[in-house]
Amino acid sequence: MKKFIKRDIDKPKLTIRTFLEPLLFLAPFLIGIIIFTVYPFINVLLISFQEGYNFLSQQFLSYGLENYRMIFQDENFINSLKNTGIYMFTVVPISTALAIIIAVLLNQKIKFNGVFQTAYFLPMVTSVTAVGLVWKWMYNFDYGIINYLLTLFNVDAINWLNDPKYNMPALIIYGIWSILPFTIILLLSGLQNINEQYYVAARADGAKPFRIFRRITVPLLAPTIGLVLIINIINTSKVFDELFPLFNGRPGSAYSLYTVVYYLYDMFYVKWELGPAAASATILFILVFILTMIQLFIQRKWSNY
Amino acid sequence: MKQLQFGKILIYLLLIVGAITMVFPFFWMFISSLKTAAEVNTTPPTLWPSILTFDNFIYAFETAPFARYFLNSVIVAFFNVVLTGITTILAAFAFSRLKFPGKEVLFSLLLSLMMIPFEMLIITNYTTIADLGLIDTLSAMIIPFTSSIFYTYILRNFFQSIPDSLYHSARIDGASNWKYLWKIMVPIAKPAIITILLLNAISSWNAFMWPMLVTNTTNNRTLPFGLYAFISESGVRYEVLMAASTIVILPMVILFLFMRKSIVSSVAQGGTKG
Amino acid sequence: MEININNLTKKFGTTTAVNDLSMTVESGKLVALLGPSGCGKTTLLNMISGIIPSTTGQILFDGKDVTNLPPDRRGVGMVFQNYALYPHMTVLENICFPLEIKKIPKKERRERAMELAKLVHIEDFVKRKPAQLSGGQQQRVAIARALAKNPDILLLDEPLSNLDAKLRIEMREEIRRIQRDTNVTTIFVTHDQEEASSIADSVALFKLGEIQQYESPNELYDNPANAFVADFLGAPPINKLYGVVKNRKFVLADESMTLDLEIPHSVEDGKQVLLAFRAETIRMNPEKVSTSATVKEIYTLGRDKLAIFNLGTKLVRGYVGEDIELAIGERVQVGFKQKGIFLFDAETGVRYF
Repeated sequence: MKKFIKRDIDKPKLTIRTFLEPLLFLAPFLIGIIIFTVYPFINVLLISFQEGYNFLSQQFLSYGLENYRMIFQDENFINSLKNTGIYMFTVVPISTALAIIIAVLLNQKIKFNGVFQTAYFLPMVTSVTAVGLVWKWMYNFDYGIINYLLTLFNVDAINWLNDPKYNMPALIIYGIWSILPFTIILLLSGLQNINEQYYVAARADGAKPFRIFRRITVPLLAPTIGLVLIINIINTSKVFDELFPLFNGRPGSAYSLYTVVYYLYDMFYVKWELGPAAASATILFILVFILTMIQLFIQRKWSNY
Repeated sequence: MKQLQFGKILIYLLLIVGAITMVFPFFWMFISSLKTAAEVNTTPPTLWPSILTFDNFIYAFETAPFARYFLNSVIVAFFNVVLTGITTILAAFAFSRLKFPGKEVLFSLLLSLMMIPFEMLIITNYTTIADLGLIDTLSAMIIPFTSSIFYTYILRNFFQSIPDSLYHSARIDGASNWKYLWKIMVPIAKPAIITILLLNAISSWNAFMWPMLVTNTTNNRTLPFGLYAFISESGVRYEVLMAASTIVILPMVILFLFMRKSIVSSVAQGGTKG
Repeated sequence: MEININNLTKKFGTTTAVNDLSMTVESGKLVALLGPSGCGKTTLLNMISGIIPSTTGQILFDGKDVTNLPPDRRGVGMVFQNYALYPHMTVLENICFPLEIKKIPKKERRERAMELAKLVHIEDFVKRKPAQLSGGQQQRVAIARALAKNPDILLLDEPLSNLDAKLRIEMREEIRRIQRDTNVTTIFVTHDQEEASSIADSVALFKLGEIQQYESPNELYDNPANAFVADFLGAPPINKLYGVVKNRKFVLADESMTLDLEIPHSVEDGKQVLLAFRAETIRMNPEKVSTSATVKEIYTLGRDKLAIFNLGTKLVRGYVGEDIELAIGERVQVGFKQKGIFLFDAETGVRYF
């Protein structure tokens, strides 16, 4: 093995063969990436800075921050940032906490592990839209199963989907359910990477289960938890598919539940305001970019664990 | 000993409660789809249909072209999987095995592109698809997704784990790079490739936003958007809606029951390393 | 097929793996490239196969320049250290693979593969996957596959290093037999001097990217070109005594012993030298040059008796005849046979006699 490592130090000579052959292998892939990722990325950035559209020449006169100024004065956009923030910072911590418990339980020596895993992971592969409609049915004011269950506990029925006050909680509950499988999988794989010997040693020292959980599991799982938090924050920052079926394609029953991606969709597809749409897309990118940097920082910091 | 028993029971109890919560929406969907309109709209709801009926499925297929949606979804998923599969295998091979100047720089550049959310790109991609004259075609849901950096990254890592000596050996046996790729590397990487294609098929099947943007007519809808459009067009009849949702969800449920292990392990891998 | 290597050099960055090397491998011969790890022997083999491009120099197969040909167009067969069998194919498919690439009809290639499987004695396992075979069987498959396309040249990279000791001896005899049967020009890389000496027609001994000596195993053993060659070959290792030349005599470095070796006049007085002699060179009760030694230890190794002597302050090994009785602590007179005693320059390793 050792002798081949040297090969990589060996700089390839630039010949027709070393240039053309890799290019042929890469071409189909790179063409797709350039046309549908690189080009639109640059294009959207440019559009976001264009201003002063001249209808006669059909050209933009200059570049500037006009679009950004516009969206930051738009109540809906400010709302969308706020809503996305609320959604992220409720769904992510709650689902992570629940997922830790479930992952730890699934990591025990239990029977029917396959059955449990199937049950817990199933929502990951099913259409968010279709399941969203199921939740819409379960949230139904008159005949929904959720309100029926609430009445069993002597709680008044809640108008989840038509009372703006309860729109966000409805979205959050569905969001938690829908993000749980992915979160559990990551945490479970993190748990499985913890060396069994730590547990054996702790048990030999007479530690009780809860103590083992607090003093061994949680600290050793910390890097995975950090990673899961960031990945889920990135994912939830793009919340849209969950919102759409619940409220018949509207951002909540009183148009108060705009999210960043919904705003982007609305500006682009419904109102055809490309400049503001591009500006909000750029804001989304900056958000994701910062979060990804934090993720990479965490990964690097913990990679020597 | 007694305490241990109690602990075990508690674990199972918690797991069962959780599992029921997770599966309940699917159960409720399926049960509702088998009920009559009258039974769906009663309180208290019944846990099992008193009159079992498949009429809702028949009605769904009759009022909306769900058969057409289903076929469209299959076609789109199929071409997505085949085309992405080819570009991914070729690119992963070049990045893992061939030597060319600037390889590492190009690869890290591609990895950094993964940060760009797809939602950001819809504005220009929509225009591109419109310029290509592909709005309201099935191709519009296939062509933008032929290249995936994420899958290429996963497969390249797998390819790199195949020993160099197999490559050298095949070359000495007279195989070209092309032959080596298809006769040796791909068969060895079959499990990894299947998993990638599976993930790709799932995401293609479930895609909602982009198909909604680029399709106008009933003929070209795929299942999720077709399902959504179904409510706005026929009004909300939940028993029928649940039957339609079942049609959308069932294929993925079946797929998951058979391929759970490889799906779960690749999600775990992709999540922690991507 | 004759292989000519002319002034071949390979550089990896700033390190030189093979330095201006020239050698010829005659057609039909079995040649071993021998040397410690990192000496450039595997790099040379990989350049002959085409896996690694050379930096400068030339490789000729029967006079045809192949230096810039990719591996698939050189017509060589190769066996890798870890065998590199294709894990998803059966034994038969593995052997067939080079023929499949050559687009030889299915029936014909199966016949040829079965023939080869018989040659290497694995005909009973052709339907198995490599993972179901033992190390020795896997190696036989690798050899059969390398021979499948009737190569003019067979290259083996440390083919025996992954096998246990007993199997290693068996397999090296197999390699010799298969090479004789097929008469294919064969080069094999090894770091085991015994392996090289036992089966190769010629051995090229490497050190730091250069050939130290390239001759038959007997010549290398009996007539080493320098101190490195003398030291690398032979088990037990050659005895080495550092000293100086004084009046054509050898004086041990700490002057605890002197040997009247009639050192030639060409070696100046006061020169730092290395006296090396093999264990079998020691003679008991000699007529000529002799010195007294103390018996420190005696080992019986099958038929032979190996004794450790105190020669001055140094310890040396020597074989003694089975008829000679020795006791530990006994003082004896020892001398040397003509064959197997060498004098080298202590610094450069150049041989004086």
